[in-house]
Amino acid sequence: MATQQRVLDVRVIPPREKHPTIFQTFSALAPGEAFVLVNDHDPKPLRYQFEYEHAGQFGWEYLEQGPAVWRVQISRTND
Amino acid sequence: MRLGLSAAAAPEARLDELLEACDRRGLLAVELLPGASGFSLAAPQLSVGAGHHAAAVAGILIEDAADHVLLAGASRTLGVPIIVGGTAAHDERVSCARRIRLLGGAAHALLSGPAAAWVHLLGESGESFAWQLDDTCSDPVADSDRLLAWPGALQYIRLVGGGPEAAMHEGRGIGAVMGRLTLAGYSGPLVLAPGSPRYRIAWSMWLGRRGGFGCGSKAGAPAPLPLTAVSGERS
Repeated sequence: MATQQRVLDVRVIPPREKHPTIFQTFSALAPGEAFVLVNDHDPKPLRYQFEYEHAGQFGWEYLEQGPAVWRVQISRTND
Repeated sequence: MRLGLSAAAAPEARLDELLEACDRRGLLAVELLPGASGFSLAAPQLSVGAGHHAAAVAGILIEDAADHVLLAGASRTLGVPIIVGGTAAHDERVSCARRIRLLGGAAHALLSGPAAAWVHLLGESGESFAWQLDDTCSDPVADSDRLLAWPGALQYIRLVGGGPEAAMHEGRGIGAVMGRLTLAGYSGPLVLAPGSPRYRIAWSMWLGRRGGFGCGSKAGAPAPLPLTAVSGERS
């Protein structure tokens, strides 16, 4: 198992478990670490939730914006 | 992690159609099965157009591992591993995968059911393996912890009941498993496979459509793929 870019593909996760899984994964990151979120729609509501719950603690960079998948690099910034 | 699709989801679709469906869904890997999607172990070749898709073949799932030379040859020709499944006992699958590798192919034994029953095989063999996450796995989270304790061993995952069946996994711990795989840096394929022929229509519609079901997405017009049963699949 090569340790490359960390990818969290939430398309296989039941809808109600998606956001809790994403936030738990984010919480496990050390400052400076990141993972790539993959989803089948633009996760704007997730970003709003991040801004509300982790203001100033996260980075958000779109790597791909549709039409089939959205890839967003979510990083934990240095506190 | 590369999300993919098993040809079991649409065995009557041509490989090109399967790859197009993967492109529509943003899936990057395809699992071939002998007899499905026009694939044959005796003539293991892909169509000329197969290379123009984002998705690529990630493995060949086999249930009958009798001809190791044939399997090793198919693996070498396509440059992908043989996933040794079927009804054979787990230790026999490990032995079969080992024989295919000795013949120059790549192969992983497909292990399923409670990991406590077979995780010792990983320690004994030190080999890579494939994991099938299905309803015989009673505690996927604990099992994923056991498997990830062997760095580098987990090379391939089949998720039975993914795709349009994902919502039915609620409460099984799939989210926690995915989080663990992410943090462990798992970079192999995670192939979605149908859990039952009962969901064929759902799979057909899902594969023929782009887009998701939540957070304001809008699905495109469906173009269902042909679906029929394949031998050995559970009902």
